[in-house]
Amino acid sequence: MEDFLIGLSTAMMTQNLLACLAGVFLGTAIGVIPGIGALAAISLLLPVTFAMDPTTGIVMLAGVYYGAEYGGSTASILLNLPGTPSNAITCLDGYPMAQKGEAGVALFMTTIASFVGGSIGILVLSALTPAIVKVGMAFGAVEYFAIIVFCFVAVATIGGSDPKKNFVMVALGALLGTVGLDIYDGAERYSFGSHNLIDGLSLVPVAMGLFGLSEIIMSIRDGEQRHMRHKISFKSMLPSAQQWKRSFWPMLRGAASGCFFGPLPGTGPSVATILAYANEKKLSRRPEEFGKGAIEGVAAPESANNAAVQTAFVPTLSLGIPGTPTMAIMIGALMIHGIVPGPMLMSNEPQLFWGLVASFWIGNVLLLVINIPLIGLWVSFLNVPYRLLYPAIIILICVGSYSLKNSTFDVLVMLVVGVAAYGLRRHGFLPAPLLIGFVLSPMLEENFRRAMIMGRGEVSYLFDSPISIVTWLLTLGMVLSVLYRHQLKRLAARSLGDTTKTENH
Amino acid sequence: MLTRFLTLAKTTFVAAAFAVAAIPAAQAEFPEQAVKIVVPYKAGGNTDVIARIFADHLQEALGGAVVVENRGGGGGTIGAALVAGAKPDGYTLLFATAGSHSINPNLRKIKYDPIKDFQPISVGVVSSLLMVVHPSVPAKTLKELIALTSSGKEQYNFASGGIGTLAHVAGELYNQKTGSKLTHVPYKGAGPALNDAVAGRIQVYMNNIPKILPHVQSGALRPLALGAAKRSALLPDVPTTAEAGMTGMEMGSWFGLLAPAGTPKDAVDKLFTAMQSAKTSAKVLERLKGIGSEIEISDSPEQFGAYMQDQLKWWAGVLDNPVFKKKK
Repeated sequence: MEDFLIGLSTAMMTQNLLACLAGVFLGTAIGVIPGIGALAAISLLLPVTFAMDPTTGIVMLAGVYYGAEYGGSTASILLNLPGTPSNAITCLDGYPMAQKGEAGVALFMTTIASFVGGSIGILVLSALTPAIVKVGMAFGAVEYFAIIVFCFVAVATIGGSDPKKNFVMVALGALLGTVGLDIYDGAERYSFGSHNLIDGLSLVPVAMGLFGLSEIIMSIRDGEQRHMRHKISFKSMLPSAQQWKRSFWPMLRGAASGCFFGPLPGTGPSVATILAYANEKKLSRRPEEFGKGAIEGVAAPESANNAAVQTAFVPTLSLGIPGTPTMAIMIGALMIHGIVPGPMLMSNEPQLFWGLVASFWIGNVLLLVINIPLIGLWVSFLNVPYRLLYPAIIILICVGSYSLKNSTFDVLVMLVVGVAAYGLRRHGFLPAPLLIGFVLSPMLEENFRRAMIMGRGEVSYLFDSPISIVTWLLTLGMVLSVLYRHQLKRLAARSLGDTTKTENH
Repeated sequence: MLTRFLTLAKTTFVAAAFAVAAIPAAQAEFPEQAVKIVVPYKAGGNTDVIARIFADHLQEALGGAVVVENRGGGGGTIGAALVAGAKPDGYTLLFATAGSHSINPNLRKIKYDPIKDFQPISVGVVSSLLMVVHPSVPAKTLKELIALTSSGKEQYNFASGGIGTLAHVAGELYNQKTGSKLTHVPYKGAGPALNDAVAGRIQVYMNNIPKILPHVQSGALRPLALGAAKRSALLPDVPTTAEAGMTGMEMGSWFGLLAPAGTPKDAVDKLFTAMQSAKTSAKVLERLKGIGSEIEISDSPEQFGAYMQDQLKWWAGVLDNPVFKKKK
């Protein structure tokens, strides 16, 4: 507590307050613009922080990072274009909501969900950092493998109504995920001798092409008929009492998912959102509404990714191990000042650590204040004729794909994926399962093979830890609950006269 | 409003860059324009941080803007190929590493000649190999570890950030020299490898000092020996491998500044002098120390060239081993 007060006084210093405001404002802007993510923005800002006090610098960079996560859902909802990769899942229900004319409501709810998720994440971060570090350390290849299998089972329901097509897309995603250097024996997979493919395909251009570009091509085909005028009065963007009620628990459960996956360097925010969404679909009494504009499908993943980005600072600061490339840059920003994130950081630099945590609180409130009035402005963008809006967006996502690694190759990847995704979508194959396969399967392979090396080929090694055993049991429970869903329902109906929720992660 | 803000931000940036560039502009002398240093790795990594510390110093020493551009990918080979083909005018430089110029040229086909396509300027940092164990390992010295692992009783793992990296090569060399059978566990980068070492799933870890240092200082990892000719000021109590009873383990990663071949001598000399002056800059020394690195400047660009050739040959010899060539 004393530490936190030191932090608060650090964060309240004028320069740090200004840095925080600049960071979150820029972050929101960066997040809203499709394609240009926090990574590119932070890389550009990095040299600026050299001249600053390290605390001020990191407060600003962190603000950009979580601010982008706030703003990132805007383009997901309005244009089916994920502002950052972890906002991709928000497209699934956010965009249908916008098409129904509820863009304002969706944006309002994501802002609230972001705030709730972020705040819970910060609470967990401030109260439990030492404990989280221990939990994070307890996760090795075996535990990660079990968790990722669990995720795969949990997300089996995301996608269209045809399981066969979903399966094909997951497999295709997995295939794309294998491109690049095999880290275990140095073999190059599907690189065709190109240096650009040695590191595999990047998530940003793939997600951008899958959701954004394909959507634009689809709408060109449909002409302007889908265009409708969006109301932008404040009243029209306030969620109804019913919508508030439906979002309450999803937000909290989403935050829980974010707090769990955020600090694990092996998974990160994308997995948190995928699982949060799948979880809500499973728990919902109206699963059929998911994918067609269910508000839970917007609230849960947005709460999850904001909780995850806050808690992701735990391994970054206390172990010096970045969970995402953006975090790696933040470590660099500190290192350049001679501050090495690691186990000694909290005791050696309490004013930096707690100052940063306190700035998160301030930043989150600032984000809420900045974002609510902007919703009307964002929605009004939808009233811009598509013939003007779309070329601008295509330019932006090209710039976004390029800026990630200063690579024209990534622009090409985005374009090819976009055109291919358009073809697939025309035949009823949806992009979400592909993205899930692309994100999860490389993790699955990496951890399975590592576990096999560490266990000297013994399969029993996979069940060697309490965490993995519990996870496997949960997975089994989930499979059984799906297989025997109808029997369970009948049983429950007989005894209670009501359907109850059976599984929670 | 958004665009206006961005335009404003951009104008400010550009204006600031010009302001810095304009201050000491002497006529028709190098540098007349901003110098770009390509870092062939991601922003925020070890190489990037070292490069930026030097870039910051060069900016002061040269009296002109020096900007860093990250062109990561392909283990440093994409950025390096880019500079190899750049105009040799001294305005596009490469912050090269053992990865881009000693190791990868021996592991895979690359689009540049690590020696002929470049004009050396100076090495900046040479980071030696530090051998550490998790505290759960009973060995307190390198000799005890060798006794433990060569007996074949313990089934220890060692980690690396990928095939053919310093950590991997060091571990395999250790196995060969001591007759041990440590199992290699590769990771995607050194970060997660270090994480598992700290957690104790990896018992033996050998890599260059910087990222390991804070964990040694906190007691999470126990240092046994340093693979260098002499002890490091960063860890004065840690013996060298030779002192600890093992020869031929002197190795490390180097980080240095290169220009494309054919760069005018005037520019090379100015850049070299600027690098040399870093040795006496308290700011540079302090910053490098903070990240667990020590400065090392070549005696001359020619000497750096000879060093690079030696390193390339040394790595070729070490990597000419079936363990590292499981390509098919």
